[in-house]
Amino acid sequence: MKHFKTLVEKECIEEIISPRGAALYLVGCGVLSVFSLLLVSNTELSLLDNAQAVYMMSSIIIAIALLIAVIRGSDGFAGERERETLETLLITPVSPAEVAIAKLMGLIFSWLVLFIISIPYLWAVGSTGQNLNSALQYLFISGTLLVVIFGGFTLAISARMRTFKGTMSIGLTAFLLSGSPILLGPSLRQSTVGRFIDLLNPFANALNMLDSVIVDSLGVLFQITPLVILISYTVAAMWILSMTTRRVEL
Amino acid sequence: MKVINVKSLKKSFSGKKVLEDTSMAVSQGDIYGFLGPNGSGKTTTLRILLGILFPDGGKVDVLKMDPSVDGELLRQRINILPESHGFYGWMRAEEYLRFFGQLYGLQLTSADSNKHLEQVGLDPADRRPIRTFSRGMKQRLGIARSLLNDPEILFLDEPTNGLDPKGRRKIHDLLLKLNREREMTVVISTHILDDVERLCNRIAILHNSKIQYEGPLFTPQIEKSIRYQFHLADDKNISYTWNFPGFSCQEKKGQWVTCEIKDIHPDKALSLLVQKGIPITEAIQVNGGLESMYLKLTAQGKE
Amino acid sequence: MKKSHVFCLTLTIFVVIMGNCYANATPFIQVAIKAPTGALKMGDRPVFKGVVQNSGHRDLQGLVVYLSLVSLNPGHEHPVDLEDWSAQKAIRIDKLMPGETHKQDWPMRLIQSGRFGVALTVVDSLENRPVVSELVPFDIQTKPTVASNRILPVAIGEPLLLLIFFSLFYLIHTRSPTFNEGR
Repeated sequence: MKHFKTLVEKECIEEIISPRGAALYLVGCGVLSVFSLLLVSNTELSLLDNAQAVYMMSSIIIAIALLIAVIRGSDGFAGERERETLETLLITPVSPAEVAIAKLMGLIFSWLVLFIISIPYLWAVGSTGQNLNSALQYLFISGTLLVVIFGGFTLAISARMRTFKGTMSIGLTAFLLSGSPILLGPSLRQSTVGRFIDLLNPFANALNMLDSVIVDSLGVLFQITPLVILISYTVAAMWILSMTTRRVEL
Repeated sequence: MKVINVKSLKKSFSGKKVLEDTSMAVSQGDIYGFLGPNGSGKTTTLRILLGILFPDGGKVDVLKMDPSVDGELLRQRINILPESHGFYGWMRAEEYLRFFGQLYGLQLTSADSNKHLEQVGLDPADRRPIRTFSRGMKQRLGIARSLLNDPEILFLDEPTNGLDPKGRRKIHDLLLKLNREREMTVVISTHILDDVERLCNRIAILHNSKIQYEGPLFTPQIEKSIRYQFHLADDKNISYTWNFPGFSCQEKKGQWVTCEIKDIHPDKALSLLVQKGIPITEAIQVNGGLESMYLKLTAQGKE
Repeated sequence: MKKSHVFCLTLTIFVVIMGNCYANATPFIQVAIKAPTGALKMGDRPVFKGVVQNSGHRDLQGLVVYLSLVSLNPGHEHPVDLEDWSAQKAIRIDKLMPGETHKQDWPMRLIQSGRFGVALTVVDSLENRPVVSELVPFDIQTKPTVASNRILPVAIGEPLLLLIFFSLFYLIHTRSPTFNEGR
């Protein structure tokens, strides 16, 4: 793993330097700004208390982070293959596994940048209310785990698929499938089937965890189950990634 | 000493045979020309030799290592300029070399990077991102990258793509210099027969999944006589009946003289004319030689 | 008592009774509204219970019942537009038989804090005086919501700052020596 540092550095600088990288952050920032402005201008939203507003904003931040993870994960191998830079990388003494880990670290760096960008918004929305510190901690933990899960999963597909478009369609489908139950009303999610689906869904687990911490002010003990589920998914995603990147052919 | 030894190499893609019973050998210090029509399997062979593609059968030995097993170790000692190679457009040339240098365990300083850039005719002071480079500039940068680790074997897939004649000559001279001074083995895959004739001492012609010919560039199997047309600076009082060994000149039209050259390397033939004081300004090969043999061999069993 | 005195007394009583009838303005309609129990705060969606009863002897048809809201904050008393408070501001009762009672829920969204009063008004088209319930006062407590004075600078300033940051980073990268100089 002696090339790891060089590869990670390149991924991180590319995040900031390349127009594509900067554009994703600016769009994310724009979405958070629009939501913040709605919180003060829209009658319905302006009645939310701080905790609810912080929870909603945290959910949006996580959704943006996962979208960025899916886009960048899809680009990881398939995009480099299309741009013909993968061959120049693989002809050096680096292994595909090193490239994969470095790209995953790049995804985590993306998440860190987005998290830092989000802190002022969360402070503006939630500093006069409850549980802002807990919100930040659990948002960081759940966001990191989710980015590794979704990003790792799409990187693994990207290593096997020929095209960025094909990889991204699978990644976005997975993202929408995991996000769609959340769009169901609370009553549907309270049913047995709804709860079972929520349990299996890492995205829903993370949001339920944030809800219980921020809105319901529940402690660490209540978060053990969702955390265990998220960590299990993280381990599975990393295992799948290591299997698919043992040998990467052009 | 054989640095590359390939025996009965096999590779198929989706049921289609690309390489079948392909064998070749490259000695240390060779400049080896690897020829073949488009889609004949040249790039596939090079990728297998580098260990980034895995064969279906056969035995491959590069610097006494199996690329499928010891690929990472092997790639520390060899390098390749692929035919289609992308660049990280946001990087600058110096940054690009430094990044790849680090992957080879080299900590390049600015001076080192500048030297590599100047070697291929790029301006070290140019700080534009690579995405603004022309095709020729990118090709030169790719060559610079392929020389970073001072490889024992350098593979080049269409190295003079996108280069103007001056650039091509510069690359030729560089490769000849590296071969001469560092005994670097060079394997060139190209369609440009002029480059092969100028640089290579051994060639292999790949067609129909097999090596159709492998051996020295000038052998009895290559047509013995090549027809050339020479342009004279001054046609006054110069006879075209040159009585030099290997020359048989048939006609003179204006300042152009047409000759058959036999059993002699064209470069030696030109040197001979210059030594004899013949004022040659241009030499054009009309037919014969490597081109003739290549066309003959690759016309067999054409798809 | 003389006959003329009896006649005058009867006439007087008749006039008084008729006058009272008009003064009470259709006393055959009884209307009331009741506020929900418990503390109310901004954002709540309580339901006010309204009752209209026909206590007369004839059928009432085409009654219009509408909700009124006033602010009772001292010094700031004013009528309140129900636009954002309630989607249901009025109903029509087709027919109300004698003795029949019509119950109606009046849901509301409490979008401001303070002291307010709500009343129901019933209009019978055959009568020229509407019937109004008692004014029911209620208090709405405030709750901590998002402070707009913090949000605006962040929502507008942060995207601009980010744009400046990325532009500067790009310029520095293009113009200066590479980051890993001499590593």
